[in-house]
Amino acid sequence: MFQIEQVSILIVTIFLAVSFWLINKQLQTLKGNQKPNRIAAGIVQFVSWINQYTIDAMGEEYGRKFSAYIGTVFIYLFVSNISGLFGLSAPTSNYSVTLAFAAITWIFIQAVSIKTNGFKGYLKGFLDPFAFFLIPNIFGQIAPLLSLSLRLFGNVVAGSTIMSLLYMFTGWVSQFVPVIGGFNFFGVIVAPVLHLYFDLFSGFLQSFLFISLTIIFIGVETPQENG
Amino acid sequence: MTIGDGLVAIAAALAVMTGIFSTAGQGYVAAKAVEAVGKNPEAENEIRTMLILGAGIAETAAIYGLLIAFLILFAY
Repeated sequence: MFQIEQVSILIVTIFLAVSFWLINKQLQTLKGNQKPNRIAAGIVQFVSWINQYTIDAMGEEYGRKFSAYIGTVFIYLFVSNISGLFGLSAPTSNYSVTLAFAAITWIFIQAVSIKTNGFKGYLKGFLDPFAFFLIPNIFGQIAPLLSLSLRLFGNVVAGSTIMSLLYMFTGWVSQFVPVIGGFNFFGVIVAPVLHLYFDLFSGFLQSFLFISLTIIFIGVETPQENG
Repeated sequence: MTIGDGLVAIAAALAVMTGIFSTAGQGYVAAKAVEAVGKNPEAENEIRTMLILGAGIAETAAIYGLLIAFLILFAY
């Protein structure tokens, strides 16, 4: 079945691929002690921030492996969340997209858990502290999948629904303005502030929360060096 | 307009009421953050990150309520 978000997924992915390619080309031509331009410096700073943030929570070994995934997810989710500003319907307002992202994270959590405890230890973890806890433990394993995906989906859908209700309301109000009746001019005054909150701030916050929770969930499963 | 529509609207309003306690939790998070900044002003940046994370997680319950309210409104 065709869904309108498929178009915006395609547009966002093409945009990101092209911009990654251009930035990569710019970074490749950078000489050793040459001063980078502003975009390249920002990208370098962002990458080192993501690296630091991941390594702090997961430890040196796993942090290096996962920081690429974390950074990619952050960029993709942020661009999809703010794509509502450019007239697309945000890809994250489709539950399939957020469920796919949460599923990747969830598989990583299980994989790291199996790698740390061994397969036997992983299965034994379901009977922890004793056999009666089997069913609660299974629900506890599935809960991150639902909570990660529904949090992101709910936020984006709530924002876009509230914005469309606002546009309907301001359109109805501006009917009563005598000269320029058909033009929705209250919307132009009221909407930008709310777009700033619902698209930019909320989009940034939710993508940041998504990667933070991903890091924390995976970081809990990694072996701890000290204690 | 039947009485069923009114009941659906009441159900949606009840679902949105999860926001009450979620808001109280967010207020508690903010109050604690203010206290923490008062104690160690030099740790302000880390506390801000923690505040936003905590507030975002506390908001989850309210978002679930809102989602269920939308489901009730649009599915029936």
